[in-house]
Amino acid sequence: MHYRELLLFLFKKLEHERSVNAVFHLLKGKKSAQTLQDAYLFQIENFYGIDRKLKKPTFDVYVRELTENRLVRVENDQAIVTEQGNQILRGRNFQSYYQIKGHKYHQIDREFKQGLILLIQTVSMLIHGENKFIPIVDQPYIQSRVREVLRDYSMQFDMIAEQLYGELHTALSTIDEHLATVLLKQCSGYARVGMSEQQIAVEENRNKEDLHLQTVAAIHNILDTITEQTEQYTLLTKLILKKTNRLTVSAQETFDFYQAGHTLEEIALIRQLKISTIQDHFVEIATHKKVFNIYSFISKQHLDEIQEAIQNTSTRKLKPIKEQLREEIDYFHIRLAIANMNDDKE
Amino acid sequence: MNSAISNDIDQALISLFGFKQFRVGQREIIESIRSGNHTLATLPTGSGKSICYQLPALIGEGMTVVVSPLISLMVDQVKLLKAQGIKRVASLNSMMNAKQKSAVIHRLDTYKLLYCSPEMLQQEQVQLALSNKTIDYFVIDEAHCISQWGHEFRPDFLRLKDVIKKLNNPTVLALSATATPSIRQDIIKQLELPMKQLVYPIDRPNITFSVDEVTPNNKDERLIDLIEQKNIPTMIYFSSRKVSEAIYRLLQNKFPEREVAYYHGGMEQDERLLIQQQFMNNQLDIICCTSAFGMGVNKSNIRLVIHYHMPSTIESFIQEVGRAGRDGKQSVSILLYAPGDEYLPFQLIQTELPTENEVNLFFSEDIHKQPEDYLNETKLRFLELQKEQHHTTDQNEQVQRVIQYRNDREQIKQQSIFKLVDWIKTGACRRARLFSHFQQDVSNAQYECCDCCDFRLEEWRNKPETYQKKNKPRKNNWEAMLGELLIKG
Repeated sequence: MHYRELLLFLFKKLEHERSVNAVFHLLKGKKSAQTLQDAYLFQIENFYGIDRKLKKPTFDVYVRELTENRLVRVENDQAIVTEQGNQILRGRNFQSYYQIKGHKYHQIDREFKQGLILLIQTVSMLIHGENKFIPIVDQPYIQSRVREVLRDYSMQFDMIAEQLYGELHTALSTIDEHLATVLLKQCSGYARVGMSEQQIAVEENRNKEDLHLQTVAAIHNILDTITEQTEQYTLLTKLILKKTNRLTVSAQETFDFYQAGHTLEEIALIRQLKISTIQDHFVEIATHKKVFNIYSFISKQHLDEIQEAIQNTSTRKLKPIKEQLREEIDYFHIRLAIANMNDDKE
Repeated sequence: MNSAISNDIDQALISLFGFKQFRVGQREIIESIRSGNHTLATLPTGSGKSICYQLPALIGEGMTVVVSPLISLMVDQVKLLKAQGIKRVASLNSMMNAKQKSAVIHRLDTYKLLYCSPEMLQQEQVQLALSNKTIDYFVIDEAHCISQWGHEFRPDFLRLKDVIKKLNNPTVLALSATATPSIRQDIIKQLELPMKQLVYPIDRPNITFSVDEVTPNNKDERLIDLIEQKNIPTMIYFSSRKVSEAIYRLLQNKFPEREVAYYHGGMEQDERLLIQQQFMNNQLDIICCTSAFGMGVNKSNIRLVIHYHMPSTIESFIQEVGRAGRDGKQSVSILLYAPGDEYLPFQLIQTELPTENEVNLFFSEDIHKQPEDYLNETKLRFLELQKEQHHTTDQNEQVQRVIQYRNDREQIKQQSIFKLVDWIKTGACRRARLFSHFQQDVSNAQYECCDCCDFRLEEWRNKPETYQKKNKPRKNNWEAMLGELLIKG
């Protein structure tokens, strides 16, 4: 896939509706109500946050190139796709291109990739008897995660190597061969240091950004495979570090919208999910997030009443608690109140 | 020196670092501080300076504090030690968050070596924690930074003497690879300590020096001709990130069979780490880099160091050239000089020092003008520091002092460029001239000396040279690569 085709596609989607920069914000994964909302509204959420290191000058170069090649023209700060541009897009399905799923994985894909690369390097070095080496990933939390994984297997490196090889081999067999190769070229280990995206791009005569897309696709494809059958991939799934550590990916997405200023109902509408599902998310959020302000959903007085009822009934079963309370206090309120009692939040 | 101590350190050298013999100066420096002398020592870059304190630190009873001016240097040192299996080391620096810092402070007992920035040593919490520990040695790496005639003026370096007192006066070791006699005197003055001086010549006899005078238009052509003939491990230094990438692309096109890469401070950390490791692992033939590359890089077989741009000080030139030939074999330094090249470092000064106008504007505290809007980061840091340094109640007086200081710095920086230009244009022995600011004599060149003595650049460059690469060709499909990584055999 070419980055500039993806841009063309995204410009088409936002044609006459949004500014050129809306595409930049989408790819960067800007945490604003507008950007998140647009992603869903225009059905381009698959590309939300897939290039979080994208720099404005790089983006501008692409836009200029598209304009110079007369594939788009910029009017009033909006990008209009020309007839020539439309021809390129015709008959091609970008919507689910390479099954990239930005909205789903943008918070975990980078860490997963780094964890994978460090685990491969570490295991590769150790089975070849090299116990002195410089880790190819610097971030302390990735390093400690990999250390934990090794400990989970009691440092049985030969065994870990075998399992890692097995799981990776199966997982990579399910994805595009070229993508698997691109990912493997970036891996380091015994006797070899991996290549950067930029270096692979030169080798393949492509742009650096194209290679980034391919890498993201490879990682998202692997994540799809291993999260569908977690029991088959016990080692690889250990590398999935949720940024928030505790929230499910979907609840995190709801939380993102909430922090961007949306109400519960709006979020249900935007995400095309049932109100009850979003309520579940908020209960999850109230359980785990210190920064979540419960009073935006429930009054101080109601909360006190619920807490009293919980103490009186000395149960956490919802029904007996509900029976003690006024009509207007519903199950969602009670669940929030119980969740709020968790004192182990982050 | 009593022989029991000597035996001790010989054994530690083998068991901890895997070396059978000390290099020049190491033993003397170690013995000096082990006997309790405050010591000021100079050793050339790449000669194993760090062993001089790492070894005594690891076999000592207490702990050793190492003050290092550069965070990247510190982090690299800790990484290298850990990779060698020496785990009882840590660093404290401003890149760490509060949680990480306090984790280190709470575990002080478990460390033998603590790397610390001078700024961190000013924190009360750090001073308090350290004053309760037995500190065997207090080491100041790159000690020329203490002197205001050194590279960079940082006030917390001048406050080290108070820190040393608060830590109950441990034995001090100040180390440098580039300290002129006046800088050495200044260091001793700043520390207010009687110091034994162990000055070893910093010239490297296996490096041949030469300057290739070119015209601005044929610089690239000359470079390509040179690279064409000389297929040997090469570093090319640039002052500009952009140019380093441009020349990288040029060489990549001209020599598709060679492995070329670029490295500069503007790249993502992950990518920098990859390139650095590829270089160390002999996967690259040529690296186009800025001065950001090199800290902690200890590759033994670099045969050629080219300066595409002239650096702005003799000190950085010596440091960069010093990456060549650490294995002791013949290596060549070539500085490509086109008339007018000095313009670039002069220009760089102007991006580093605020103009008089900017100083005035900064102190006027005009609320309509945010300093961030008209000052770059370097200038802003400079002014914030100087505001604190030259604090008086009289604002006019303060502004005048800062301007005076700014002018002094400009002059020092300009002189330093002039010195290098003089060196480029000299007709006398380059080796003698280059090191004349640091030491009286230079040792005899082990191979050819320089283009003003016995080295004929043209002859040398027309002699094709190539080297044996260690790397097997890379597999090109994922299954084979995966097997190569994870299957033993």
